[in-house]
Amino acid sequence: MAQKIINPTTTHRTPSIHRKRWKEIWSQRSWYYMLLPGFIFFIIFKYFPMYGVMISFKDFDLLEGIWRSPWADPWYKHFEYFFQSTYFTQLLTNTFLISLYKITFGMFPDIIMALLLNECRVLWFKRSVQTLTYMPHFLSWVIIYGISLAFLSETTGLLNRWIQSIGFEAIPFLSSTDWFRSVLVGSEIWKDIGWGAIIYLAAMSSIDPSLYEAARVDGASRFRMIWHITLPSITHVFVLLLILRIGHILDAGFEQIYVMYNIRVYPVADIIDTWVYRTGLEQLNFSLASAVGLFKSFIGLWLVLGANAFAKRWGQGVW
Amino acid sequence: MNKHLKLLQTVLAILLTISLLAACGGNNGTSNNGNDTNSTTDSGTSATNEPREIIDIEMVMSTWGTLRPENDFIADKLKEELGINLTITDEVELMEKLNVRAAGSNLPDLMMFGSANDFRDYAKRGLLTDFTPHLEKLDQVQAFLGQGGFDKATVEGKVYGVAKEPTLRAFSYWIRQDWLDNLGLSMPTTLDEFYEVMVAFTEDDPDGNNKNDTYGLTGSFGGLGAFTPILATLGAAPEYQIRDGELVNFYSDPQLKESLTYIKKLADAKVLDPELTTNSGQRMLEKSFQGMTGAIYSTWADMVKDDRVEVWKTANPDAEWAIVPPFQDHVYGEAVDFKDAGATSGFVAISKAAGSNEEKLNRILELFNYISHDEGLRMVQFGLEGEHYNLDGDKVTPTDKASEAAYSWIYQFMGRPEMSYLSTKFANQADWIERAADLPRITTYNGFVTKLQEVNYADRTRFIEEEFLKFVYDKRDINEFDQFVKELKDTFMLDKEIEHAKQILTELGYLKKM
Amino acid sequence: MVKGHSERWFDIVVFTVLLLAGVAAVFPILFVVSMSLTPYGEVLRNGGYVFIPDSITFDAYHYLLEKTKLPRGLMVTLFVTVIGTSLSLLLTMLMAYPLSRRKLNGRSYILLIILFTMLFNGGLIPTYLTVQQVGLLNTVWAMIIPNAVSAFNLLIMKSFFESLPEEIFESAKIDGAKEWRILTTIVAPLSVPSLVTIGLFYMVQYWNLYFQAVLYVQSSDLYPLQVVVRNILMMNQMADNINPEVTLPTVTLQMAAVVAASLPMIMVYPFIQKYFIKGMLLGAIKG
Repeated sequence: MAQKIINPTTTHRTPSIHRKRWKEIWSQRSWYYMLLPGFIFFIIFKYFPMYGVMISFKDFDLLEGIWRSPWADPWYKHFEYFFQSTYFTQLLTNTFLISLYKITFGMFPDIIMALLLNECRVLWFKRSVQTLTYMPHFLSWVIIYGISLAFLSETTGLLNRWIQSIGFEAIPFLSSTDWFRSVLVGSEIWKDIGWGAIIYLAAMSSIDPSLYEAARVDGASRFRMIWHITLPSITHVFVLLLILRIGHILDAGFEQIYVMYNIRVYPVADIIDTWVYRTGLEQLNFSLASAVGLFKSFIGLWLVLGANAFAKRWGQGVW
Repeated sequence: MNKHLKLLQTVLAILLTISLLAACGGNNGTSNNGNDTNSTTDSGTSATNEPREIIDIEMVMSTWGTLRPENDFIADKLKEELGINLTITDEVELMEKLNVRAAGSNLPDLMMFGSANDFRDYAKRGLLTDFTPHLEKLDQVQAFLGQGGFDKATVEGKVYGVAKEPTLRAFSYWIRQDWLDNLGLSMPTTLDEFYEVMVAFTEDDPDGNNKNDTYGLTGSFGGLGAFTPILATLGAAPEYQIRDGELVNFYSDPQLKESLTYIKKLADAKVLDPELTTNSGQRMLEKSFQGMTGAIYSTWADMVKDDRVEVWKTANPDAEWAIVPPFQDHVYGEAVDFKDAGATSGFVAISKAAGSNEEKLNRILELFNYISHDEGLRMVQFGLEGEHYNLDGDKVTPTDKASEAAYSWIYQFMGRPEMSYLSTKFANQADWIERAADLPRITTYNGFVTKLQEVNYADRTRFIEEEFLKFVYDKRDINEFDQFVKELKDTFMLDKEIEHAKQILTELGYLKKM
Repeated sequence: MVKGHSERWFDIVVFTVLLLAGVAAVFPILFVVSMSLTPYGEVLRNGGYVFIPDSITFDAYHYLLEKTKLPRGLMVTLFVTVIGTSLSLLLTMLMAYPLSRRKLNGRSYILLIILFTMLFNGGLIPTYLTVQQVGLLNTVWAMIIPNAVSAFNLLIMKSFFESLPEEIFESAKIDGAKEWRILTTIVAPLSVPSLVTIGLFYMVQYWNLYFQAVLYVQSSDLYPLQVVVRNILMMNQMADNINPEVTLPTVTLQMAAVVAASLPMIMVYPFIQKYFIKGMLLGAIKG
């Protein structure tokens, strides 16, 4: 009885199926050889350090190290510290909302950009725009904040001067709770639109041109061709990117927000990561940072599993 | 097809070379790791009587991007005089780096901590060398810094480092003298006059460009920084001061309420830079220099150092800045600012590993002594005698090669005699420095007060700043101030913290026993 | 005739929108470049920004080259980028190909194992300790090997490989080609756009490397470009308790640092663009 429970596979599969499977694996051995170097990398640099997750449940002490540090009492102490922060609900809401906005409003412009570039027939123009929109990706957020001040500042910003010159009140884009999230999403779109389009352009370049020709013979308009030929060819990339981004929904963009936020917009801009960072500045607490990270990972894992299951219905799952 | 094949072949060839290189690279790495006994003998340089073994010492600190030249004469001199081969590593993310190195038992021999919190944490966790038993060897340091240098670095009764003297606190209000002149106003001497001047700066076109584009005051809102001289005039100072023999906490001080009321008056009159709450980094200075605002809470190093003067003179040739003297309608005495009696400008500590190596420890203590007096102390301030400066009795005169020694401040592990140093090094600003230093300041004791474990100070800071914002910008009635204090007490254990502070300051003798 | 009309409208819309996007990108870039060429005082006199500089000065660039470790950092970064990108691309390709084959036994488990690393990680300290134990600490390799394969890039490449038509593999199998030959002579040449894309992603990843460098490297001679640049950019952000000896970098210098640090990556792009041409696949099959 006990043995059966320990090894249930033998009861289900006949030995011949078992052998057949091994034979198949053996026939695929060159694939496994190809996987091996990368796999070793993942084991050493990604999986081996994962024992560090223990830090979340310990009172980590730098001198004692991970193994010898005492267990936290109670074991959920550091999680509790986070959950009991005065601002916990707000942090979670902000993180979730900013991320959601960035996904919904941020992913489509990339596709539109790629489509437009793909449709553009004037080569030199296409290439110039492509290069120009790619450049902002290399500016760090500190610089982008500087640029946004030059345009959006309430006192010196160009846009506000123009608004004032046509007789309206200046708008505090960077310090108003109404505008701040839009600025976050907008500046991220601006920064990464050209960069994000690259991946779709690559996907589009593998479309068989004969498909377009056949459609043209049939008298299809360009819009119809986009809809029936171009878009279907990039859905797999889109779905993949979407699923991966959903997994990181609790990463709302620490660096950007840390550089751009201020006291006035804390209620709409303070996210989990900025809170962890500020708390860490006040007191050294690896266990807290680790616990919060673990919390974020768990939420992300469930969302990714869910999203993938959902995508599989259309045959678009990642695995 | 063929072309791609060729490409692939080249890639593979490159990769092969890499793997070969990787094998060599790995070896290089391991020899650099570990730091217990990597001493090397070097018999060539023996300026002292007996040739000493040269000991490698690694120091990690933040040098703010200041580079040491290829032929670093200070390092050479230390090697010659003390037999120390000192390597200083500049760390941008200092604490992150120290933390991982501590976890890997790979701490450098010497470390410079910027914050008392981090230093105390390291000391408590047993990562630093307790040099209480070696104190008598540090006679020169003792003579230079006094007992205070060790007291501030004492954690749980043991001395774990040396606390450098703080850099000169020289903040005060600076004001556009030329704007005052343009409007025919005199220097404000009371808070009321200051208010009038701020209104005039905002409304009466002080720069005469016929545009309504100026404001009175700029600065940063965090910790009410921009309003410090107002707070000081009214007697409030963050976070602990002793007033009439009693410990006063900033947040529960009725004078804070007074200050907030006055600040609200400024906000209501719209004389504050509208972006006061969002300014960060150098932004407020930029605004002052470009002629948008007429007053700022700042210091000589930001306002009148040569490079700064060049900037604001270019932007605005007529500009002239002046220090605002203390306001006369003060409540508890003249003050323009506060000054922390427990402040330091850094803690130098020795790692446990380096401290357990007796030879190394002795050499480090020698180094500390050497840079605390006479030639050594002068070297870390001005460079080499006869080359970068000339000595006439006690007076140091920099030579025209002095700029070559500009990086020497990195080596000031024990600090420097602040006033004489600054006025020699910044001769053009000596007058300003002296004036700023002479201004009266409220003494605070924040540096001594340790934090409570159970309070999340990040949340607390956010709560306080948001409430200040509401009080000042009319979102919350100032009469609810007592309610605010109660919230602080309930949520963030203010009472317990005050008790804790009282106990510490009584033990140190700043507060009389009850 | 009617069709021609709507075609023209379509072109006009495409053109206009792209033009707007280009302008939106070019203005801020112009701002950054102009600021790097104008003395700070002039910038302030102008109200805090400059689009077309009156007088140009290269002082900031001279300063970067002579008074900072930028040139040295550039060399380190070039090395890390070239070697790192080649290594990463090879490893990723080797993994992506088998994973793109649906017949692979245990495929979904392996994919899950890889995906898992995108969500969970051991944290700063255990990773540091691993790098230390492997003996990479304080070498150039510490900036390359711990990031050698990015799960994200791997999944993207796998997804690209999946979209290759199945017939290719079948005909190859009939020819009796070995898997290694299928990868090098069929899959790789047919996937040039995706290889170039992932290569670009890796290149930028190595170019922008910052935090790993700060953590794993102890000697400032090995600091890559971004560490030097970040130092210049961030100093103003945390400017309290700073020594009066330190001259804070001006906006001019900051902008110059940014331009110098991103210029090489921008110059590379036009060369990469030409691989995104429609019909790469077909051409390759026929060729």
